[in-house]
Amino acid sequence: METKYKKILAASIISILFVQMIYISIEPTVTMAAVASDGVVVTLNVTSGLSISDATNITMTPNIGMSANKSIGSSAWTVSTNSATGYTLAVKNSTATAMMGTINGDNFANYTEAVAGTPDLWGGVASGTKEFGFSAYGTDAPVGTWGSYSTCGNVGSGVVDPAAKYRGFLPAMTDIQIASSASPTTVGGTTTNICFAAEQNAVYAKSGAYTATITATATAS
Amino acid sequence: MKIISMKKIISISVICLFLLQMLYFVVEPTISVAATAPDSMVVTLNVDAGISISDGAAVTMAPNLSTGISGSIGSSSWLVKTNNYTGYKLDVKASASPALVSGGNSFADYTETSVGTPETWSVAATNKEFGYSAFGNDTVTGTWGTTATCGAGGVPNASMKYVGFKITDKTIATTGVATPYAGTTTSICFAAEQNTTYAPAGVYTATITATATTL
Repeated sequence: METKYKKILAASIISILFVQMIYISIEPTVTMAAVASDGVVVTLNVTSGLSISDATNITMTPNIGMSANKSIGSSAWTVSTNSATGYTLAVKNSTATAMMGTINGDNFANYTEAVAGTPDLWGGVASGTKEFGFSAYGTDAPVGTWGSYSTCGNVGSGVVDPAAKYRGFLPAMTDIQIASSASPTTVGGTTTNICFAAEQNAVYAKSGAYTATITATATAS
Repeated sequence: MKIISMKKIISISVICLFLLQMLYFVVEPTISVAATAPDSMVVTLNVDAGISISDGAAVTMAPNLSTGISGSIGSSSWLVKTNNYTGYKLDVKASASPALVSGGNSFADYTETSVGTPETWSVAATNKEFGYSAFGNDTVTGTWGTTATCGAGGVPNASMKYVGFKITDKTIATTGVATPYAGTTTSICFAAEQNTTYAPAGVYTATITATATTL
């Protein structure tokens, strides 16, 4: 048995030597050049990644009541990504009518735009209605869509910033894009602020707490 | 022997791969490498309960009582607005007992057959009494009657049910829901009568306080 292995090993060495001789004889570069070079390809893969911060839950102010018809609130998400082609940030509601009373059976209708789906200035909701909508601002939120402003409005009076353009959440509970960029963010990320507004006009919202659960999704492009 | 070895190799390989996968989940920051990353937040809007009541108009009952006129009626009303989702109640009470007085003279508070239960207006002979009834969307017709007017010519509407005032609250209207934005009006009817007796001449007044309360 040992003899057999020795034979195999010897035959292998002889074969390899033989092949090496053939190679040297037919390979001009190695055997004839004074300078020999060779390129090495080094590959580094940078995986596309993306993160989104945990937005703060908020309570809109002031409370709406019989003598207070408007309320606003804001939150924000910071998105970080190294995606070479950037990212998008979209929001959606969890119920067809976003702002629902927790126990009173009432709700604030989704804000109705003059042109459906196109954000417009919050000019006040129609008489006999009460509505809830949102707007956005930040480096990657297009001002042409959402308006050019940097605060949501007056938290004491509930009056929205007059330059902000609002729209309603969708009954289908589908994503609405609020920000995007075609390039990576900085390491610190890019913050997009969302403004919420609610108003009753010549109608009383039933007393109680109302909540809307909003989900933002950042997607690498 | 060979089959057993292969089985061992496969088993160990699967276990190793599983452990590696678990390790990956533990050490890998899920958010940072995800192609999409969601975050949910809750927006809360509080609507405070409120209630308002209008200023009920002072009323002079008509006609004046005299030796030839024995009955007089009057009315006023309150408009209540509330967004309280469990509704409200509207109570009335008199500031004095008896309610309708003029110096040392007075009309007795209306006496019901069953104390405290409104009934069709009726004053016994030799008595002079003052009472009230109510009507409106939030007034219980079974208690107060089914009419929408206080009467005419000093005669209370026969469909109304009257009760005497007390200096403690009595509910004349209530509902378990918020009012419309415009509010809900409740009317109060006053009635006074002298029956085979003369009320001494004078100006008699009663101060009635209505209180709207959220439920």
